[in-house]
Amino acid sequence: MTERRWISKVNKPARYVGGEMNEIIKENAPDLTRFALCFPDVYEVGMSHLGSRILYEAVNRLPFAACERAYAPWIDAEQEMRKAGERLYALESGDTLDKFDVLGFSLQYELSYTNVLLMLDLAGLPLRACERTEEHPLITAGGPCACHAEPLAPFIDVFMLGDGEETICILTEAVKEAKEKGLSREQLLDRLCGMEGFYVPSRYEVTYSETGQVKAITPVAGAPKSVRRAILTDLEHAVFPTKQLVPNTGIVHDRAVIELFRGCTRGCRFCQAGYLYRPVRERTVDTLKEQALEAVKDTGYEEISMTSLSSGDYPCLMELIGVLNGALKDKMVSLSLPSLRIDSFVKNYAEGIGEVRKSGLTFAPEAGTQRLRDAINKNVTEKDLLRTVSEAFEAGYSTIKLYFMLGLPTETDEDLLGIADLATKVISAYYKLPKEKRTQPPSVTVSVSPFVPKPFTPFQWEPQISREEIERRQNVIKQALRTQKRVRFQSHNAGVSHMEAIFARGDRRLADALEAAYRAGARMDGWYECFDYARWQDALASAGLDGAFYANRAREEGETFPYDHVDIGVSRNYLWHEREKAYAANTTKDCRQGCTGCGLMNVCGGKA
Amino acid sequence: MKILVKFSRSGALCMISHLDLLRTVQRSLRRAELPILYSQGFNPHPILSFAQAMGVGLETEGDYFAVGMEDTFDPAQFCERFNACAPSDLMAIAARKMANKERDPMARVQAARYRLVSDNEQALVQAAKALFKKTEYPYTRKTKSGERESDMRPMLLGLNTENGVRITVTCGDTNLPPAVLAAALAHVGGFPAENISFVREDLLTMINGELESVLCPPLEMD
Ligand code: SF4
Repeated sequence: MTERRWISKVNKPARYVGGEMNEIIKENAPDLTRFALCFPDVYEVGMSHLGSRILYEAVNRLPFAACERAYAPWIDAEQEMRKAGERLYALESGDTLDKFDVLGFSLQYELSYTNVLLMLDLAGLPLRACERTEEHPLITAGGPCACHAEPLAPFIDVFMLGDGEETICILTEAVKEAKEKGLSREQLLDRLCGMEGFYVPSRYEVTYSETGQVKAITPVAGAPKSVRRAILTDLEHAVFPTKQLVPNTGIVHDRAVIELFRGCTRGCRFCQAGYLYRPVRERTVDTLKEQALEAVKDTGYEEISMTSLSSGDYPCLMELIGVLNGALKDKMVSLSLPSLRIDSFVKNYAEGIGEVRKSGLTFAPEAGTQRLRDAINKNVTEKDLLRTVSEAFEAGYSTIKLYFMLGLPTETDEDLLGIADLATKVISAYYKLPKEKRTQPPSVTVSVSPFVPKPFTPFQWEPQISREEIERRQNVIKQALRTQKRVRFQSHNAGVSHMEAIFARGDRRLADALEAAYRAGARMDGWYECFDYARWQDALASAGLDGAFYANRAREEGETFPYDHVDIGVSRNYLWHEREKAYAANTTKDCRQGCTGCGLMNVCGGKA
Repeated sequence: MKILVKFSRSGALCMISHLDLLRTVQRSLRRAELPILYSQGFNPHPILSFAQAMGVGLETEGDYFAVGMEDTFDPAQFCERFNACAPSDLMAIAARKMANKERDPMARVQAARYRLVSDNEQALVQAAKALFKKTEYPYTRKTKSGERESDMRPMLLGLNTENGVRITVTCGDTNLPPAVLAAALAHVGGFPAENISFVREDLLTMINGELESVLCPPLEMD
């Protein structure tokens, strides 16, 4: 890497130098297709993202391509880079991003959109696709938000929708061929447009009605009417990296990972991932064991995480834990199991996992009353929760964190009081234990985040409650918990959730607001210390837009969504039907127990 | 048994904290599948200790760690196996078995030798000579309990200006951090401290009245 003197002056310089174990460095050659995976957040966050690790491996396995990484610099480093007149670079070669053939952004959350602009800008690239030329890299973006990132449409050449491991290779190969044949950018986009998983935003014209809603989305230049998300059918044989990057400095999730399955069958109605990653695709215990052993050997990590959207639902979980424990105990490796559901935390897991740190456990009942939990299809009962926390207390855990959402459709103050009530009962569960089984007095954190209606969920038609109402409801809970000394109340910034709601279901007109906000200094908006609500209000106003129109408006059943030309496979009818069931507080069963007809029958055969 | 390992770090590895370095060495040892010994107890961790903490930014060609290893292991194999599994900017240079009663390197370190580099070597040499000519050099020392007036002169042990500039200072119990030395040189020489960069060449211990590399085994041992 070339010398960048500013690095030693900034906070956490290790973010900017690479040199990690298992980093892949290929020798540059004129016929090499160079791909830079760009994560629009800081190093510690981006390095923790499993999807990026998989794609890094997938592209680097292509003999004709090299994949490098770039992350958004923190404020201090950005300032130093600007002072030194330096461009953003990729860590492996240290070459600036403008030298690459493709930049691929990972869109994990809406509030990282300003960082996409920041990275383009720092790379010396024009922000808008229409201002870029053949000299500039192709700009692509994937990840869950890519399916509805209309506010980013003018900045991105092509979005990759759905599972990325195959799509990204198809794209890289197309770029290579375009280079060889001397195809223009438009010719390359012609090729990609129409293929499953590739969405070229410039090939769609959007018109708006007088009242501001999307009137029509019209394909142009032969683009298909809608674009289908790519679905990897064979996870078992899909590429999975065991030589996972091992950072030299601490990151958010600093451990080796195996992925038990993709998708989730629970059908929680607020959860976008539950619909966006259907159907469930699993790996076998044999494959997982092999991958775990290799990962431990290749990384030297002392902990391996069995990850998925809901790991307790893996049918062979106990078998897997047994097998891994047997194989890894001597190697001093501990297992961890994130995203446990309340009803699946049984004592055996805790014991099977062995030497886990018994400090904290988190559970997500999401709502305070059974009625509301039924409405959101979070099939968890109070009894389950209280039994589980008793077991956890007995097993030696003392701090419990409970996650809730606030402002869910159909929520009343009774549901809010239910949150306080549940927290109180969790405390009592401890004191109900016989004295000899009590280990340490419990402390419970109640974390409440405002509900953000997400595209491709049954609640995509729903308004978000106003900021004032969010704050009122937060206070209802706070008041109800006032006398509970063992319960800590944690609330989230209402402005952040409001902006998320705007951008989640936003249309292309928001691009101007996004750019205005960025120019006014917005970046790292997912970090409280950087988020500035007033700046966003100014940006919206300058673009002539009203945030409430996007966040707080109920949609008609038939309204055209800004992302209606994206087909994730789950049918709109199914989602609407689920919404109606929510209002009737009717639950829908886990589709592992029988198909509920979401629209993906041709992919999973009705056997998720 | 314990093995004493002399190592270097450069490039990306200079940018990490002491705790990060400890973790990186642990993971490298594990990847190399070396037969390391673990502490007993609820939360076992490798028996591993460093001779001297290293601040962010410091490059070294001669720092040390001691690691517990099964008796059957041949120390001659250590460097090759470790280096094959460590990040490229971290390198084991030499390894030897520690004598039975040998103290951990942390307890033996008494001095450190630095190689200094500057854009203007002439000025650096002059400043160093001027600093060493002084009989005392008062400076403000930052300690955990606050600031204290102190004399730097007794901490300056040796200056060598043949073939570059090398300065030996006290290290270990009374440590003179290179950044503090740089500030003093800059002050005496009248140039900015950023102009000087450091490489730690070796950590030293007193053997028979002479400062020797910590790699040398203590005399009284077998
Ligand atoms: S088609 Fe049926 S089984 Fe398949 S994911 Fe949808 S609901 Fe589940």
